[in-house]
Amino acid sequence: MLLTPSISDNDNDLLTAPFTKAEFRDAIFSMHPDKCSGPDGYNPGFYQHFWTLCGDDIFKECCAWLTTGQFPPDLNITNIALIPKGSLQVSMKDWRPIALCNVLYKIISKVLANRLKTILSQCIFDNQSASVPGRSILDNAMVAIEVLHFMKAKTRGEDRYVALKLDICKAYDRMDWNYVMTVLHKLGFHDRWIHWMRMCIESVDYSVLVNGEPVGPIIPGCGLRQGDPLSPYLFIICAEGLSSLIRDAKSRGVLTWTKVCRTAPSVSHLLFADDCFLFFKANEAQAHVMKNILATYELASGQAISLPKSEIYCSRNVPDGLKTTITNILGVQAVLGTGKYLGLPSMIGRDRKATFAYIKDRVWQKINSWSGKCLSKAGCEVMIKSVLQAIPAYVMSIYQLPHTLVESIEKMLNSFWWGNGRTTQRGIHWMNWEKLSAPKIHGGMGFKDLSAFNLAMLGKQGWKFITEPDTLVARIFKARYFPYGSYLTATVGHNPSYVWRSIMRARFIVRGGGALDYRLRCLYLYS
Amino acid sequence: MRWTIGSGASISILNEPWLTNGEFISSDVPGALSLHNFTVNSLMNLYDKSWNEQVVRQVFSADIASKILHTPLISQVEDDRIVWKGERHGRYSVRSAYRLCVTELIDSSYLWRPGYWSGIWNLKVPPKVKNLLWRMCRGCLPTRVRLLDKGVVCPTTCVSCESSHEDLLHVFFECPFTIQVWNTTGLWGSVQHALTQAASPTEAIFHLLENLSADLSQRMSTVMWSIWKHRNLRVWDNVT
Repeated sequence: MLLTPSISDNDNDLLTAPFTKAEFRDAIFSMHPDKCSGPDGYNPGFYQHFWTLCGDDIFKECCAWLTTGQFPPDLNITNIALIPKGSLQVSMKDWRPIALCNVLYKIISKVLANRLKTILSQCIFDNQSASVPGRSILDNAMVAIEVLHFMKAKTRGEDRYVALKLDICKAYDRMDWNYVMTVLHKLGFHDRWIHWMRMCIESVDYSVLVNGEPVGPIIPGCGLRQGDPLSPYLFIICAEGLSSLIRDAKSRGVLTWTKVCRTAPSVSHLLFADDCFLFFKANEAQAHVMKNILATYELASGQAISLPKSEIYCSRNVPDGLKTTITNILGVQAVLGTGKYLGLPSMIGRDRKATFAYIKDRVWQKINSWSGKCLSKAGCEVMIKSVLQAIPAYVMSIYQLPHTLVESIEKMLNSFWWGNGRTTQRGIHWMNWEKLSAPKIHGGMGFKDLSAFNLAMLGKQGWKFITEPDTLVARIFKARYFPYGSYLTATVGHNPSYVWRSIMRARFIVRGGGALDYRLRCLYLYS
Repeated sequence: MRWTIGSGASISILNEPWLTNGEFISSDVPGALSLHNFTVNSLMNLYDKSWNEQVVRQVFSADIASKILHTPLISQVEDDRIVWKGERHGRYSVRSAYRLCVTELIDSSYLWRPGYWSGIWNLKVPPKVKNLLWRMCRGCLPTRVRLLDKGVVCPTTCVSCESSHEDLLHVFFECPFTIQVWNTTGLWGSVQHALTQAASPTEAIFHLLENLSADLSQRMSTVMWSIWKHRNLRVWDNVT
């Protein structure tokens, strides 16, 4: 293993410092009171309500368990609820096992997780953006989209690149315990801390809920529980193993990283929890190196990469012969097309309307589902504000949606509002969406003007380029689009990606809106 | 956005929004070429953190110079920092940006209607009641007169009396049945007073909301809701 210790003594002192009652209080009150309870049947609401009565006892008892390093045997009994994935369930793969831990255990685990969170950004490289405070899923998506855009535009030259999107099946459930402990050890965590982690992970005892009745017990030999507050953090720490292998391969010179332009920081891989994107040069040697890396990682961590489900994409200048050779070496068949990465369309072609049409379909589906049918007028308001308008929000945070699409979504919402939950053109539309979107104190309903909301969301990304210039995504965009200036002085430039184009359109908002560019206003209003 | 000037060493003079209100000096101003590599601190007296007036007047034309000299320098601020104007804490938020976008870009103020709207939304009554009040005040309650305006063919007679003009005013304030309801709930006095004060039923409602106590406004709005409910039952289910 090639991990280098990155946890200082100082951090270890912080992690293993004596516990305070305030930490436990925070942990309990940060949980949602109505979350499902574990086998003992007490939900977080119970502990929150009676905190004044049982707070001291809980605190003392938990501290005693942590100091002695021993949990009582029935604390860590866990129920597993199976949540269906997709519409058709055939095999066990089509279920998501969600662990329902005892809340008492979850309190301890949350306290530990809160401590771990504070030092996470030191031991996790910026290729991983899940669960680390201050990093966003959008950063990851934006980098991936920018690199793919670069590869798509690369039609000439000797530098040929490949992108590989991995599908890891049952990532959490297959994690090897010894591997977790080794990684923690190598990163320089204190023995005491490692022991606590071992306690939390290995004292588990599962029962599966089948039709509401627990069936078990099952004593597991590997896997992190989905539902334990510690798991996401432990998982991304373990994923550092893969990162370190890739970094090592680069330092040995057998793997070339991808750069979107000469001065840009190079990117080898992007991780978002178990969502994994790898970039390397298109030749046989590097494909073999990559295959070896993946095999090593699989062997060590117990993870299984499902190659048939993984996708590959070659830059345009890769000849067909080479393409087949590489796919044969890696065993990947599918070609990355118009699919999505992290829920966002990763390649935007000329036909934007078609690319984003799925958003409209999703809104349409939601309106037509049973839940919208029996709502009062006031219920419709809540439904529009917190469900329907929220559907496009995620995509709108990095892409500007085409005007026609926004208009047709607004039209749909309007007819939902006036049709009392039905979508057929029934009911008189007393007012258009524009009037409804005025603020409530000025006589409207306070619905959102979606195009304005879109620009406001895009402005956030621009703002982050200015205020957080050291993130990976900011450095890449700077190198590619404004190497000598700032976001505020940049031009759209040559062959820009749609993300950049979108973010540039929101620039006048970031500037402060004071002196509005007349041309932009026309563009916005009449496009 | 705008810079708050600390030392001024990391803000270049051109193209950065460091003047009051986030204005910036564009690179088109005369003599801009020579300013290219200079930062704001070269215009400041370093010993007491104030503008070096002599230099400022020498370099810039009169109007820009006066803008610069009017930009405040606060001695407590130590680092140059970018702040967002829309929020007090100075960080960007989508909420404030949206507000900015709606007020300044598309300028939706022509859609605003005057009125005591917060009075409706702050009532402590079920949301359906608030929604009814809002629809009354925006004129989209389907009374028969309104329906006729919209081209729906229907009689305009009131369902509980002989009047042939069923509009907002009639349903809620003039129909004998309604007056009786107002009387029994003990609100007729204030309603009558409001009607003499206001030119339209909408204004009367706002007037009532403004002047009644919280308790009575709640009662009034729920009574209105019941009146409408009763009217609908009559129309559709023939209940009396």
